Amino acid sequence: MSGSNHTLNLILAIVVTVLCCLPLGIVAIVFAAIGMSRQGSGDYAGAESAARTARICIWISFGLGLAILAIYVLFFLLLGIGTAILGF
Amino acid sequence: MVSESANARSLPGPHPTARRPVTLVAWLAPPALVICGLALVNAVDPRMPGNYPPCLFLFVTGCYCPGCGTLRALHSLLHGDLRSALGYNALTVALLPILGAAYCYGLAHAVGRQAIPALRVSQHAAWAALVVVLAFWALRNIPVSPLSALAP
Repeated sequence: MSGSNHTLNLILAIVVTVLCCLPLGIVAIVFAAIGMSRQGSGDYAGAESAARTARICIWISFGLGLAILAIYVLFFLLLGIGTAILGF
Repeated sequence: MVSESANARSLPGPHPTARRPVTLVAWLAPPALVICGLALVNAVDPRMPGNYPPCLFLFVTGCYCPGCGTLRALHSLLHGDLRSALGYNALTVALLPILGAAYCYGLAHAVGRQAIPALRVSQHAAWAALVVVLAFWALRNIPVSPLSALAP
């Protein structure tokens, strides 16, 4: 299980930035790029740690995006139910 | 295979391509999610206000995020209106073929094993991607005639 897929990290970071629209996605892109740079210059330990940070940012961003979506949907559902009950 | 990964851990140098056990679910999830999402966007028009919650970043800051207009762009694309799609979010439209190609290449690599080399993007491309996203984000928030075309 050695070596990270830096390309996959970059792709996921960009997807998360555009879909979850959280600034953390930008941080993920930065760390994915840092990981690739370090990989290119032979700093494999540094590349690995940057890739790990990128992956953590991607997952947090993804999780926050999902959580915000869930809260939004719940909010709109409650709003709809509330207005229906109150008869507006 | 076991000794190979053990060597890669102890020896410095370019690691051999990581061979993770790729589960079927991991490969089926993205297209399944995309199809469900597209079906939803096709059925419920994102151009009508109130059909979808507003972007949180836009709601809080009043500025567009790089993803604002994605749903409307996808809806326009599903109806064959490329011009409108580009107007809603040019970055999303540009990313779609790239992501599709990357997925297909990754799938071919996973299925073909050694026959097809793993997708490698250069570090320069990575930094360029960062610059493109940040520039798109900044420029689409400037309400001046040529740049306002980037706003959704």
